[in-house]
Amino acid sequence: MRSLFVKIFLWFWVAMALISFASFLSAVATESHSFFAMPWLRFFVRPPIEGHLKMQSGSFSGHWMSVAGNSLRLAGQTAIGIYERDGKTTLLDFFNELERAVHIRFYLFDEQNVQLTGWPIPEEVRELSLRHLHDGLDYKRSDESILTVQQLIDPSGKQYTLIARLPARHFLTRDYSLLAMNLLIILITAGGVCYWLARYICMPIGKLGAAARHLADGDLKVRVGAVLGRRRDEITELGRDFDLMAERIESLIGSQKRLLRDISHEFRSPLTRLTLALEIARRRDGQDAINALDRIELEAGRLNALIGKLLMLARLESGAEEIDRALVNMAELIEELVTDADFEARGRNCKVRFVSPENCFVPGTRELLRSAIENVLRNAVRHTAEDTEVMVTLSCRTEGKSLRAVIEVRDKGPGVPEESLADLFCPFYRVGDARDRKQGGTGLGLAITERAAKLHGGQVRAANVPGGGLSVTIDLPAKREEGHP
Amino acid sequence: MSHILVIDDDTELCELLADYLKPEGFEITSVYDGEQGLRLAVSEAGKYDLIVLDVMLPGMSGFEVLQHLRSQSDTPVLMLTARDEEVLRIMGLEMGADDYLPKPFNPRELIARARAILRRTKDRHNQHAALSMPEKISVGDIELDTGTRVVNRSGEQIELTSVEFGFLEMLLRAAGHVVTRDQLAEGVLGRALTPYDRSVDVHLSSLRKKLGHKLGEIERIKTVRGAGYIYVNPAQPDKDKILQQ
Repeated sequence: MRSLFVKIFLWFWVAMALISFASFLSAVATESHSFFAMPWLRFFVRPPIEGHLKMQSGSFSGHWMSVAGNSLRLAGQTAIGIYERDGKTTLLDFFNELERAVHIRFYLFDEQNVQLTGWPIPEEVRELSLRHLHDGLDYKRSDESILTVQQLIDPSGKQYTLIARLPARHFLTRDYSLLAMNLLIILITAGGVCYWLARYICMPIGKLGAAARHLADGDLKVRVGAVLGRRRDEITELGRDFDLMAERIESLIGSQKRLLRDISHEFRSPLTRLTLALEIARRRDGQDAINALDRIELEAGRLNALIGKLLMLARLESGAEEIDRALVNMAELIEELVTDADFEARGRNCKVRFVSPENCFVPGTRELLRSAIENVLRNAVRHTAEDTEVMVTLSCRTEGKSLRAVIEVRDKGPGVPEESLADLFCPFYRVGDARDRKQGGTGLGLAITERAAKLHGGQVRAANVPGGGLSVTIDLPAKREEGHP
Repeated sequence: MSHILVIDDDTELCELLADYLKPEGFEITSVYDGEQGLRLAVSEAGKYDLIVLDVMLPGMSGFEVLQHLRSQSDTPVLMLTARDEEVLRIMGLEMGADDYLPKPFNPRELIARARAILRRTKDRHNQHAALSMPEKISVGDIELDTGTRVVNRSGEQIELTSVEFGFLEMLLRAAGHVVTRDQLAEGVLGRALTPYDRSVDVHLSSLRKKLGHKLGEIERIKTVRGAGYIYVNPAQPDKDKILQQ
């Protein structure tokens, strides 16, 4: 989400900057006068311009040059007028004032090449004045300054030479900073517009994404319509579609939950009545019917267990089941179950033994974890051979940064054919059907274990133990610290 | 003859229950909705020895009935719940139900539980009547009065259901020693535990919640794996320490 924002922002911003730069260049290129008036361009294309200027230095061609030349000439004429009328002191004042105003220093020479201001003459000025006399050179440029020579004639016909010294850096830097300022303003404005644009596009997408994540986390009440506001475009349309979808999912899951509750109630009410009627019948009838009545009771019990398991499996698969995040003390939970399973096993002269080298805490719903383990345990007790032991181990394993609680239940039964191991966790899957059914069980226990483990972020595996027996391993994400207050 | 008030919307079940329980020496009054049941239970409070209450009732739910009932009367309540709604079961016990049975229940189990509850309350009444040595048991910050059936923690009264009170009494009398789950079930619930029966644990977890899990730094009621529960005697750990020194 962030990166889309950055991408949109940068793409538009760079595009805007490039467009403004290009239009700038093209404007400059089509306007040849201003092209030469751009001192900054000399920076980029110094040699040809320099050559161009040198070549034409005698005549000062070009618009800017001629304007500049005319201005200098005008200043010179004024200076000569002042000098002839008011004398040297006033001339000095005039020149000083000019220098302050436009940063140009003037040197005025008379016909005898005497410098009238009496200022010390810098070497480069003296040199240019001599060369002007010799070869008519009237322009000289160095890194520090630009010197120009103007020949002037006063009304009476006297000849003067005016040398103007422009500090080069001063002119150049001023133009650069102006340009930099222009560019900066363009970039900032473009940046602002691009930021707003990127935000305008990305913000609703971000909100939509957040809502989708909430929905995935099980918050079915989440809607985006109110958050997206009053805009009307494809994105809000997507938002409306999202809301419709969320509403539909919410009502579907709601009705699923209601249906499960109703089924549970509607199936069990007749079962309850059936068992009551059965007991009443037992009282009234003699020995003859007892076997049949026992059978009815057994089947009613099976039907009830089956309904319970079926409902639980449906709940686990519909996503209607919400997982707690309270830490469950696994050793305590397994101990309770093992005690009960051991009691059950005694009927077949078997034992259930529990070994836990270290304790683990699993974040989840205690009841789900209980039935996940209980199903495996009772399955093992049902299938282990007579006079044998079922081993239950709980251990903690560190895998990278995460901790896993590993519960292994190992029986000493006939095991399961290798090719059927993966199918053990499918609902109603039975290995050797006829014999199995006699041993009880609904055929749903291990399927429930598998779904419950998955819901807790874990998994279940089954494997045959060398030497006979089946080993079922439940592997769950765990925490080590004590969760109890 | 014990009089049982059955509150269940399944009219046919109520008829069968009446048929079944009458020869066992119970008189049955059936009510088919929560509000009427509550009205009857409160107005004729002394008449009923036991209330059998279904959780899933149209209109006022079984929990609401129980909640209102408990604020006005302590007639024993046996709740009937859907089997797979463990949370609801715990809620019921915490709200003061004396026991629960999942539907569909074994009718013989219903009779056993009803008799256990009735025996328990009768004992209590007899104790009351005879005032046979009302005792005050005090361990650590808890003080329990068997006469007034009041429990105080550091002088502050704690509301317990009658089952929780029974458990606490047994644990306190044996403070520092293990009390097994079977002992607790027989002593307080008046019946043996069946496998995969969680009622003792459920009652105890709510008792822990009410008393506070910790007594200072140590766990107040410890679970001893495979054995049962110990109420920690605060005098003992100190003794151990002295011995160690």
